[in-house]
Amino acid sequence: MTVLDSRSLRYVDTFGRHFTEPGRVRYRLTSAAAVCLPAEEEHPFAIDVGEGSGGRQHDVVVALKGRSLRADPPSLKIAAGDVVLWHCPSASIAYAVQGDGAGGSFDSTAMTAGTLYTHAFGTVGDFEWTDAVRGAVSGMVRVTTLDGEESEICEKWMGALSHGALVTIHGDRVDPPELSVLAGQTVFFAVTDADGISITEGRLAEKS
Amino acid sequence: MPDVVAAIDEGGANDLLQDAAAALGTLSDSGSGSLGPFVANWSASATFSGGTVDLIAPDVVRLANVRMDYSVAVSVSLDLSDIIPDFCLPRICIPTPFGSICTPRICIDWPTITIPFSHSSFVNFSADFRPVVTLVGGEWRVDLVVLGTPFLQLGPAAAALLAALGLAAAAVLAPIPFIGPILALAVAGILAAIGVAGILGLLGPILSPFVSGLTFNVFRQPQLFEVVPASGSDAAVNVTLTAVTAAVVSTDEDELVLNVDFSP
Amino acid sequence: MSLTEAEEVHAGLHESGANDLLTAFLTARPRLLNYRSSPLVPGPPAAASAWTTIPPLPFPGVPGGIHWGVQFDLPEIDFHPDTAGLPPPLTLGAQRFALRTTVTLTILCGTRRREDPEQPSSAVTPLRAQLKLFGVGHANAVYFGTPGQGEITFDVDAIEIVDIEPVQLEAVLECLIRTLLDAALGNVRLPLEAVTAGAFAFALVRGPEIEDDQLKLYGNVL
Repeated sequence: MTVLDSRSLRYVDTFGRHFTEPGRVRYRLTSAAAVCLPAEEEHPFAIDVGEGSGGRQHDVVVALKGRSLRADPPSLKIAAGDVVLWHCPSASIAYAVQGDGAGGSFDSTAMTAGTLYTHAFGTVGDFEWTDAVRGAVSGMVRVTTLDGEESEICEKWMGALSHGALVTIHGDRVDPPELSVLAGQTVFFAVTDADGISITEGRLAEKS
Repeated sequence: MPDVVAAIDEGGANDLLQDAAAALGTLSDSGSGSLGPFVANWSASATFSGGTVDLIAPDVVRLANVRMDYSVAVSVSLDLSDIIPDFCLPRICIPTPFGSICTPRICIDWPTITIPFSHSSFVNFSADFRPVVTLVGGEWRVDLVVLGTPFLQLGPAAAALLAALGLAAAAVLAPIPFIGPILALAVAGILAAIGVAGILGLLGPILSPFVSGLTFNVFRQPQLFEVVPASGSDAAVNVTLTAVTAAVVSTDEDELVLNVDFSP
Repeated sequence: MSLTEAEEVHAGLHESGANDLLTAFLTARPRLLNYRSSPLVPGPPAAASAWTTIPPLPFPGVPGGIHWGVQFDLPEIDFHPDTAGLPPPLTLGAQRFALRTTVTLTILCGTRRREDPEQPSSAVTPLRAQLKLFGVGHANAVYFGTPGQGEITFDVDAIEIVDIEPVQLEAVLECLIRTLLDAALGNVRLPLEAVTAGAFAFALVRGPEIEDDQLKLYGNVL
């Protein structure tokens, strides 16, 4: 499954949080379907944000161990201004990240300022996305393919995959509101100001 | 001398066989078999028509150029990872409001796919049949039973079915995320893995049994043969067919001859 | 020479088969062989269902008519050529069959009371005579509207009852019995399918032809 929905993170997605305040942050990983249920273990993972000017990125790998989702590493020491990026390489897992502590709470299912969602678009089409939480924002990503000789297409495509595109969401403004990428490319959705939004394909948002 | 001698010449036998083939209706079967390195499920149906009869004494009915119209539907499941190599999206770094962010290398998990494909066509064949007389369940039957396994020229059918597989594979692969230009490679890989030989390896065992098991019925009567049905207060009139034989006899014509004995 | 000749299908019913069919037919429907105007005409057979009731012979002054009965034994057929022999003047010509059977004529003979000649007889005595008879006849095909559907019927052309005197009485009886036998045998109608034992449904083009001890039919596949 590779649908565009920040509420349910898959192997073609990442979720990031920009930590600006020193202090302790605790978070949990939960199955995307069980986001509203109480956790068995309250916020088992920790991030200690120290003083500093940051700018570094720390990657956390999400994996299933037994019946629980685990973060690797389970605890991090970072500097204020650093970004933590969560990713799960398994195609069969859908998850969400929820935490609170220094700098406030954060939730991948309802993104606020300082959060980031990336999605690699696998199939051709027009993807109209919207905020499934309260309908605050929306936009369009047009995914196309290359035309031409097979050997040329393959080379060009491989080259294009190394490039991504950025969409910035600040309050009710989406910049750019519409963009075009090739199938296989990744779009970064950076939320700089919001009360808790999702980036969700229109057809999924209508059902929720 | 038998009580009844019934004979039919080659011209009449031609008409008789057309009726017998039509009476066979549509034969169907299903099963699973090897399609190259993969396992496929299949269903097939066949009807028979045409052909010319040559009666050859003492007991051969040769049918030349019988047409078998067939329809084959196949479904093959395969792990696409066995066909195309694992593929990973490279690490991508772009500047964001939070600094330069890099996504990890994301390796694509190719799915297991199921490709349904089908093909309908016909093949001509010739075969020798022998008349076989049986009395089973109180019924006399004379059936023309095929001798051996007639050869079926399935080369063109295999090529057509492989082409159908290619088209079907492309349709199944197209919606797979990240397949992109790899689709053509994947289709080529599937076709190469299976090949005409793989198709023939499946098609032969599917279609040959329709022919090797072919039986045309030319006589069928209950042993207790009703001469006249009951009418009003009159009882039915029956005789018992006590013996039936069948053979091909050659004089100035070749004829299929049935001899029937009965008793009151 | 082929069996089918110029047609596609041939069916030949041997006289042994024809006799089996006749036996089956007339055993299943014995009323076609036994006729009487009164149950007082004695059997066998005993069952009333084995008889066809016929009217008595009316005559002025005979109240209720003259009661009578006629029975035929199972006839035996011989297709041309003649293998069993026929008494003169009968000969078995081409396309003909011969038959032999026995006819039993019965009459209920009543007695008048001498003291009252006007009173009807109250006692009857069955008087029977059995006569061997020989006959010749021919077969016909009757077609129905549907191709392949039809029947074979039999007509008695002449019979011979040997040595009845005077010869005029023989002629009278032969005419009477031939008429009765022809009518009785007229009820035996064999479907074409029965003649072929159900093999090779065909539309009749030629026949029935009687030769070589067989009744032959020729036709083309439907």
